[in-house]
Amino acid sequence: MRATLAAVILLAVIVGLIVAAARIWRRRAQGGEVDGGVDIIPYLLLALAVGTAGFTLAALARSSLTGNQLAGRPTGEIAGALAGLVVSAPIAFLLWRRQAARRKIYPEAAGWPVYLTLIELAFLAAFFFSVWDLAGAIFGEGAGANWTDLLVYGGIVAFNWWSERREPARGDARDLPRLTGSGVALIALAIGLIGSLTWLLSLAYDGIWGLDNVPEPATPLTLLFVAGPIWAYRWLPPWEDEPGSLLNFYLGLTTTVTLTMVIGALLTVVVMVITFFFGERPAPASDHFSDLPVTLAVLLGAGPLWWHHVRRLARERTGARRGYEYAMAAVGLATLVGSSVALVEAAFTPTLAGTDNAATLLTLGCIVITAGWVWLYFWRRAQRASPRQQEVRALPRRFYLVGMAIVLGLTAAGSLIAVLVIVFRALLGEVDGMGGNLRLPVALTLVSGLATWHLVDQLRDDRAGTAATTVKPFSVTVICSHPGNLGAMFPREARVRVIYRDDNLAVIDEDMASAIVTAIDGRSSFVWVDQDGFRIAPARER
Amino acid sequence: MTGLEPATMSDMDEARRVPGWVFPAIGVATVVLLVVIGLNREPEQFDPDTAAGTVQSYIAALTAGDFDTAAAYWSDDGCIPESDQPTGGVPDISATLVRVDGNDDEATVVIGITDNKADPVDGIYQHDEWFSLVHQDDGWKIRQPAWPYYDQICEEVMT
Repeated sequence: MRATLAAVILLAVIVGLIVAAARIWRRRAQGGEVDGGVDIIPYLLLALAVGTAGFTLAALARSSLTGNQLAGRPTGEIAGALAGLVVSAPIAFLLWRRQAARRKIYPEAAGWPVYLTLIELAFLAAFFFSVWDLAGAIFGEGAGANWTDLLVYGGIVAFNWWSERREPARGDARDLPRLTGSGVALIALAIGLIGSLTWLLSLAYDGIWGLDNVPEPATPLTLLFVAGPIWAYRWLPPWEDEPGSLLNFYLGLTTTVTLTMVIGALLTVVVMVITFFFGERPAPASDHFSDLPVTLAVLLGAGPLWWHHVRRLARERTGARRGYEYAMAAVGLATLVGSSVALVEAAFTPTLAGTDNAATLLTLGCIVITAGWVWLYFWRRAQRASPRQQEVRALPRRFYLVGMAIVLGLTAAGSLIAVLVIVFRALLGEVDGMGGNLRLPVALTLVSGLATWHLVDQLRDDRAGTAATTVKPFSVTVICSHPGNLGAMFPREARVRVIYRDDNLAVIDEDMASAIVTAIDGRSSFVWVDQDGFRIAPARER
Repeated sequence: MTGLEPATMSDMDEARRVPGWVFPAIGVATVVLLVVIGLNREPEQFDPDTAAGTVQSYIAALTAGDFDTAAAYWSDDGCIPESDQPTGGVPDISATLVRVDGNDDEATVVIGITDNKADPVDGIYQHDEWFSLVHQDDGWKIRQPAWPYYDQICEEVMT
């Protein structure tokens, strides 16, 4: 579980950092203020030094204050921790002072939010792991309760929040530390919530039908009560500015993951019921439905989390909304391809006498139908979106079409190679078992090939539609503090002129940019942006 | 002008600002305190009739170089090292109890071992060791002792 969690967190942060770096790069390329450079390397070194110092301090506290010492004095642990501290602490101190001085000159350097993010990620995750371990040790059978980890990691997280409050992150990556904290706390909250619900539902199930193993509630309940307030502190307070790309990315990711969990749980319940009634030789009902508490706990835990986050997505087709819907379409399509191939394989696999594969076929059939429905639902929503020109040019659509075409195209090519190897081997005289070997690669080639063909065809349509639609040249004059990526959202026929205001009250975010492009709809216009939003006045056509 | 200038926000910010030496001083004091506590720490005394206490006595015998006494804690059956002399000599370690699992008849004791002699550049010098114990007439006995006899061929004893 930890490896999966760590992989998900790492992936989310890497993507977030790439998005932040891309935005910074684009801003610099557009001739924005350099702000003393990105200043990223010293902050990465600072994060490394603080991280080393923090974890070695935790090791020192652990060996000095906790653990049941059986033999000898902990000189080895103390020596190791001291060595780490002697090297990392002075580096951290000097770099901290240097960067604090540089922040006064270049307050918008991107390194500061990146540093805050890395420390929040490492130590908040370590804090939740220590909560989990301590609860397990106190309420379970563990001998060593490492309460010092809780103090050290909690102290570092609190210091990090205090530093952020004292010197708030600015620039394009300003939301990254809070979003990272929200994400880590949300994962811990979800684990605690689902674990606690599993315990409650298992108790109920045990009371009615009997259950072999009712999970212990102490650890998930502890995690729930600790993670809940932290998540509320990091996520619920209002965001200072309008939603930026990072917040949109976060919302898109959380809504996609939580909805996938909800659909997966619902599907599992349906499969349980169908295989009970239509599978051959069903087990006793109490055994067959013994996974129901866990499944319902996932449904009841992930459902409200999805609802909470999806309500924060704008109803208009903003970047976040599109990201969520195309991500769901990608999940649906990928699952559809995988489950279809598995279904073909299961349907044509010769079974031994008496072997029951009805449950497998029913399960795979349900997955195919659900995945197909999810893909069609979100894909059709995207196809009906208007204005068409804007949808076709949207970045999430390009990512979806190009990314999925590459992945599925490579899958089809790889499986085709496997088919040809078997065919050539047969032609060269090795014919035994050719039919059985061919089933899986042929099915994979056909299904992923069909999906790739659909995606490439759609890409061609998008390109043809863009080329065929003739938009008259038009000009837009925007009066604002910062245009954001408004220029990139207009079609090529637009000539955009920006008049900058002297204040910082009229920054155009992604949602507003999308709304402006929709409202202008290819007509020459003046756009006035202030703290209340934007107003449009028609201009003479050029 | 009255000579009494009102304090500005930046003055108040400066006044609220924590002096730069405070956090490093707290950090150094914490580290010194932890080192002093750690170096003055003596092993806890576990009940020798328990599984954890048996492992503690066994490790104490090994670290004292009393290999005959250590071998007395081995179970009669199972896979027993061909010699009671560890190839690496007397182990110079500190050990902590990580976990004890089991029941009245069998137990697994997990120990965290830090090797004080190991060259830290060469590799891991902190590791966990699992001791499998069985309860016999005369108390808990260690079955198939591994550490610190890794490099010895064990001899299966059938009773």
